[in-house]
Amino acid sequence: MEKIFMYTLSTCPWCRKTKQFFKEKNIEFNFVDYDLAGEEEQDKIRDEMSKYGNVAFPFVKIGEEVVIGYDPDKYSKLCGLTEGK
Amino acid sequence: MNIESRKKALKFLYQRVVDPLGYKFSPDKDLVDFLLEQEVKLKQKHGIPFCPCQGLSKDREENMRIVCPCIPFHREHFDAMKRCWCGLFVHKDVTNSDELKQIPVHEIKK
Amino acid sequence: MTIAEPSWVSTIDADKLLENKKAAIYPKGLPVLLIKQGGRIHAISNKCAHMACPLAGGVLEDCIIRCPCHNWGFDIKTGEFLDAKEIKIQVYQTKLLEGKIYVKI
Ligand code: SF4
Ligand code: FES
Repeated sequence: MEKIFMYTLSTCPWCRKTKQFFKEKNIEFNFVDYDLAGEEEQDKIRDEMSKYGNVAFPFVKIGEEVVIGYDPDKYSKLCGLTEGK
Repeated sequence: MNIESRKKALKFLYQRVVDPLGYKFSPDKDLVDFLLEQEVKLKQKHGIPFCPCQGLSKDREENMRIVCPCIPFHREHFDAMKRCWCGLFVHKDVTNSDELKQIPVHEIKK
Repeated sequence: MTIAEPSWVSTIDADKLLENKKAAIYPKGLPVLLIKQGGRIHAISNKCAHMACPLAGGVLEDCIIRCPCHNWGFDIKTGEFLDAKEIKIQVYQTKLLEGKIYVKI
């Protein structure tokens, strides 16, 4: 299974839905809520996100791939879930 | 003022701003309710109703571009999605907001 | 509600308003901001189109006034919001008469 990591905001409903998606599928993930992080950590997070061209949340890293925004279809594909709609 | 009346106050102010831009509040009432509540809390914390779905930085000028409603500063991006990033506002012709997806700005075709 | 026809209202003395300065006034009880710029007197609504902050505390640069609250910029000649022209604040006609600034409101 690919490793999953995400940057999220505690105030953002789409970030919540993203976490919910992985929880429902019983897929483990780690996350950091950017808005609750310290200033130094926020700088680091922004730097890392900028490398992918876009500082926006939710930012979901599945293996080496990055998905920006709540996009269950993309998450499923990258996790190898073949899910009929 | 309690949270509910603060939410109402924001709603009243925002309606006047987004209407001439061709947007309305999302038909998804729960989403609208949740987002307005977050904005009330952000306003209590920062004095400004920042976007619940975008991250603040140290740059004041940048931060001013994510004060709700931030549509004027992200027009092309939001028009392409027919919604704002949070989904609080959608184009006036949208009836089913569930069909609208978040598309990252770099994937929007110019 | 009946909306009265706009009429000329006498406000402050013209020599009280210096170049590049602003004055908040309330003709007919409405919040109006007078601005003198390039020798001309402009009258705009003193309420920002965003969240109604008074523009009187804003920064004036040429024909642009920036709201002190969240930086929204407006053209003082047309009232247009710089980042979306569909959004406007009210602008009022002005004239000078016997040393007084009049606003049509
Ligand atoms: S993305 Fe939507 S909710 Fe967030 S600040 Fe912009 S207009 Fe407001
Ligand atoms: S109230 Fe003027 S910019 Fe927000």
